Amino acid sequence: MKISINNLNFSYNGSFALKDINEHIETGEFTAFVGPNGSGKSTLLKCIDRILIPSKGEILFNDQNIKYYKREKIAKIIAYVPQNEGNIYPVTVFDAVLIGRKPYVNWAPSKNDFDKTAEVIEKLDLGDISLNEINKLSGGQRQRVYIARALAQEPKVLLLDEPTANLDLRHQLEVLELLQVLSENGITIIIAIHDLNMAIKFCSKFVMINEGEIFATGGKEIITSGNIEQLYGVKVKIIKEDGEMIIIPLNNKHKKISLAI
Amino acid sequence: MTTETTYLKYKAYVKRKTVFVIIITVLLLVFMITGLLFGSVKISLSDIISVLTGNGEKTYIQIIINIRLPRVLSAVLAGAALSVAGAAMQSILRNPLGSPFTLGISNAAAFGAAFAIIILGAGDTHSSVADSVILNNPYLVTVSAFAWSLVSTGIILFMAKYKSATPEVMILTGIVAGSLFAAGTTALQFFADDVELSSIVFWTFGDLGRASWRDFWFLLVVIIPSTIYFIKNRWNYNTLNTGDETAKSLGVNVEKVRTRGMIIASLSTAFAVSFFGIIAFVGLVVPHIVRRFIGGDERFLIPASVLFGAMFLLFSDTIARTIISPIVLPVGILTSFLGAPLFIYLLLKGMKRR
Ligand SMILES: Nc1ncnc2c1ncn2[C@@H]1O[C@H](COP(=O)(O)OP(=O)(O)OP(=O)(O)O)[C@@H](O)[C@H]1O
Ligand SMILES: [Mg+2]
Repeated sequence: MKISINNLNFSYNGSFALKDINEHIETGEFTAFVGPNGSGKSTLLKCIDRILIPSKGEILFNDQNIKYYKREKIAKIIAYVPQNEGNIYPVTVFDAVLIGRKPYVNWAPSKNDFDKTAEVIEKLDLGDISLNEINKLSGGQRQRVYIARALAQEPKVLLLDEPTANLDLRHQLEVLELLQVLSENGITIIIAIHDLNMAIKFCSKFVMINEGEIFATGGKEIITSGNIEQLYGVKVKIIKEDGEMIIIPLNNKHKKISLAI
Repeated sequence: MTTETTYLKYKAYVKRKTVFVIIITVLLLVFMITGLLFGSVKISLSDIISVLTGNGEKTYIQIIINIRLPRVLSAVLAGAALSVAGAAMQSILRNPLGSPFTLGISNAAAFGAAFAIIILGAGDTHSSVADSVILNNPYLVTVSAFAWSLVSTGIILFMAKYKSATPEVMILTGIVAGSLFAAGTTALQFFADDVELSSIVFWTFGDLGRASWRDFWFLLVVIIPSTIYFIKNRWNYNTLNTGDETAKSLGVNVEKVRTRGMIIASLSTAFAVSFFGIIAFVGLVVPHIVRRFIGGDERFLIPASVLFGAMFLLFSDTIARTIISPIVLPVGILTSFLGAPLFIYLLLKGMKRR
């Protein structure tokens, strides 16, 4: 499903705002939103899922404006994994994933719902802990539970806010590989991610966001040391090894942080 | 591990919850029969059966049909209503402190009763029976209690509306409104004479002995639909547990579910409290006990709280009637005595688990 964001504006009651966002994302694209803390990545993801309602502009999915859709209908199209949100009351991993079937469940889940749940639990390597309480899992295990829940939704568009933030190296690779496979199967994926090297390795499109505005957008060609320095105020060196780009941050000499207390 | 074994493991796990629900249902039925058996007049099980099947002695019919049966059924209804409302509030507000009591609804009802007794003059008849104070206009008291609980609910919802329904605002408003009403009751008591004072105190102890058949039918008409509403919304409450943003992305209209749930939970508890007085702790403690047994999945928590709450209040009331017989204690005293230590015990146990 392709996504067009036209002239989107959003503002919290305070000062921060997304300003005139225009972006087009093709079906099956694996897009990374990158940018400094507080630049508006999470806010934009939430606008796309209509968790936040933009004040101006529109978002089209396959040229349809979802503004007129019911929440339940949107939930069958878009799944979203927030940056930090958790259960209050303990439930098992299986139950936490099963809730992803909510948009399809009327009175009680069917056998198909249980099967789908078990399937994604296996896919994310959670089978052994499927009856553990999620409040007692490690941060990384819990993150995989949330991704599993989003997959149980069978979405056409998958939005993940820093999905690899708590994962060890192996699970980072596994999750991103899985997302890559999903995108190759036609699911449109957008992640917010801070690890530029991981983003370059897996994503096909990059949207650089700075202070609520799109700073640059495109393929790997926009990942330049110049852009990165402007975005983060950090000097980097980009080297090519076996055809892969690697970003190495350099010491930030001119901005020494004083450690005197 | 395969998909099939994961599913089967889960099914076995869920079966344990089903067994729990069946056990409480059986216990509830046992307690209902026990409730009919116990009392100052000894009536045997076979006599009860013959009364219930339409035969039996006249005095027994009088005692069973007009005194014990409405009392037992009212305990079931009130216990179920308070507990399911507590369970729903705890998930709607994403806060383990949610309950009709902590949100100030009980205090508002008590204020309403005091208001009717003192300002509207509903309680100035002298007591005629040795151990009871008779209100000359019990319905005025009930209506006033109900109206004031609605006022407290209204305050909560009004504040929530202006702060776009965040649970924190709702809880804090409830607590503050509750203490305001408690202060109001104290102020009213200051101007009361002895009889009015004892009427207020008497009303404040939740007592199921006030139940008549008419009250019962009133309650039934309100509590059955509200319970069905909560059971119907159990999936929505499961999504609320995951957080507001996730709930929205799962297709739930969070604000609507929250506001409606609060209104219905408040209405049904206001009803129960207005008829019976304050029955503390049931709404708070029962969902916590049930969660200990079967976990936080609202699909089971909501219906199990209905059954467990009914059983809990019925059990408490039967004890209250028999513990220092022939004196009948108001059940509200007993639930406080049972509930407070139980809650502390749960808290301590919960801390060890973390
Ligand atoms: N609920 C809110 N109310 C008001 N302001 C908010 C709210 N949420 C975020 N903001 C502000 O909006 C700006 C963008 O926040 P956002 O969470 O979108 O940033 P981000 O790019 O995801 O940052 P990070 O990399 O730290 O996750 C920040 O300045 C933040 O303070
Ligand atoms: Mg963010």
